[in-house]
Amino acid sequence: MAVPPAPDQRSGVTEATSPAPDPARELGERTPSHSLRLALLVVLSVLLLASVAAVVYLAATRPVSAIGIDGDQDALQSERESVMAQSEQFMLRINTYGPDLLEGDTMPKYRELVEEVITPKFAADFEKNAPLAEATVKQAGLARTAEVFSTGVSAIDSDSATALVAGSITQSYPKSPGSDERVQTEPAPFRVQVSLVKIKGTWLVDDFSPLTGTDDEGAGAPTGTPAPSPTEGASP
Amino acid sequence: MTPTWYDLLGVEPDASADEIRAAWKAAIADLDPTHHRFRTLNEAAEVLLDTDRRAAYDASLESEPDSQTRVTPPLTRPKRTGGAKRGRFVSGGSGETEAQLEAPDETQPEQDSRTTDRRTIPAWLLAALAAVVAVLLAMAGYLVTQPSDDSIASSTTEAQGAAERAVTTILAYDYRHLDEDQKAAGALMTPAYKKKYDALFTQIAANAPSVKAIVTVQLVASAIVRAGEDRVQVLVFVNRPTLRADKTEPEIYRDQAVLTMVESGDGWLVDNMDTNQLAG
Repeated sequence: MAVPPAPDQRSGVTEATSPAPDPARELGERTPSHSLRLALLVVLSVLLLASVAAVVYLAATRPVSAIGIDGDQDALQSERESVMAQSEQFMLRINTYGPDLLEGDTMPKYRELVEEVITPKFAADFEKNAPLAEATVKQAGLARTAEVFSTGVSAIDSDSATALVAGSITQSYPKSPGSDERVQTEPAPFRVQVSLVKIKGTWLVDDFSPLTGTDDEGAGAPTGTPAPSPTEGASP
Repeated sequence: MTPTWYDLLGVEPDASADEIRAAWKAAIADLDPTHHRFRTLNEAAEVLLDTDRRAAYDASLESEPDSQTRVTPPLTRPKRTGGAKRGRFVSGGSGETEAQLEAPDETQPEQDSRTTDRRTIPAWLLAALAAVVAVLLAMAGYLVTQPSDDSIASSTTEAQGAAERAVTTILAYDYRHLDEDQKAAGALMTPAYKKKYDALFTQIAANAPSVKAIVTVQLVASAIVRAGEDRVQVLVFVNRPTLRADKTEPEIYRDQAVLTMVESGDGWLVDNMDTNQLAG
């Protein structure tokens, strides 16, 4: 029977050191299954690289607090809230005093509480003006409390910020000298702009001024009866 | 299923010698003689074109229930002869072939199988890769729905501007055209807040004509309370010069309001306005 000449027939042992080729192997290279798997491997590898790149990029540009990814805007909002909290504390502390804080001629606790939230530079100015408040407390028995309605941040960078604070101040004084009965004034609204600086990681108030929106900035004593507002009482 | 020599040559098991020869010629036509496929095809043809060897090969296929799964035909197995080194191939005759059929080398299928496994991409690898890709794509899909830092910053600025414009319209009114004022204000609000506003404006409309009230609004300052991509809170300070029939000069009221702005389509609408009125 004639058979095709095989290479190994010429030498007899030409394949001595190499494994026999195998049809399964030969055909395996061409089977649809193998080709499909190879194609899948290529596609999945490309998808893997692309999805890794996408996740890295998206995670770097999108804050997702739920999974511990804080972005720039999260950090900024956090700073904003620190600024608002410190501004509110300042307005509450500087406007909260009375005979109960008086020790002799001064109110050391009042000074301490205020100076905790202001810069050393502003503290120097405060120390000059504090005696005026202490005098009114000692001489007239004046007491003052404050309420803050709202705060916001109008400007902020890494080490300075400006906040707006709105609220009201209520004063009281003895009905007559030496009387325990006190007379309370109507709440006096205020709107102020507070300047803060960041010192050693802490926001501190560096200055503040009334914000009346008129030429007489700083002279904004509340007067008059408010006109009805279409949103009055709309608060939740 | 593992192919047979017939599969390799692409012929049916009952193919004639001519068909086998033709198939063999066609298969090797473009192959270099040194190519390993060339050698394999020759072996296939050698077996199938030899009547005895083909019969033995066919018998071996039929004798084994699982014959179709064999990796290589038994006729190609190396034969161990005398002092020949293990694994050496000998181009033996049919007698050798038959002997080999009776005692096939059991180790060879395993080796071939391993060889095949190395060359075949395992399904578990593809499955694992697909699972990883699916998880990553899911993460990417979730992240892409989250607002970026840039979009939050941009949206916050837009909302602040919209709040500044809206408050000057919403808080203003003129007893001479209250309907127009109400309509203009309503266009800047969400439906939910417009209901509240309309209820309050009813009171304004009832009183404003009698005192001939004309209220204008001047923006003093604004600040961000909470930033966001589609919901932003803005604090505004406004002055409201108010003119009445019984006054010769407008009286100025100083207000503050926190506006909750929500993105709607191409713009921003007021979803709530929280105000504690401050005296002038």
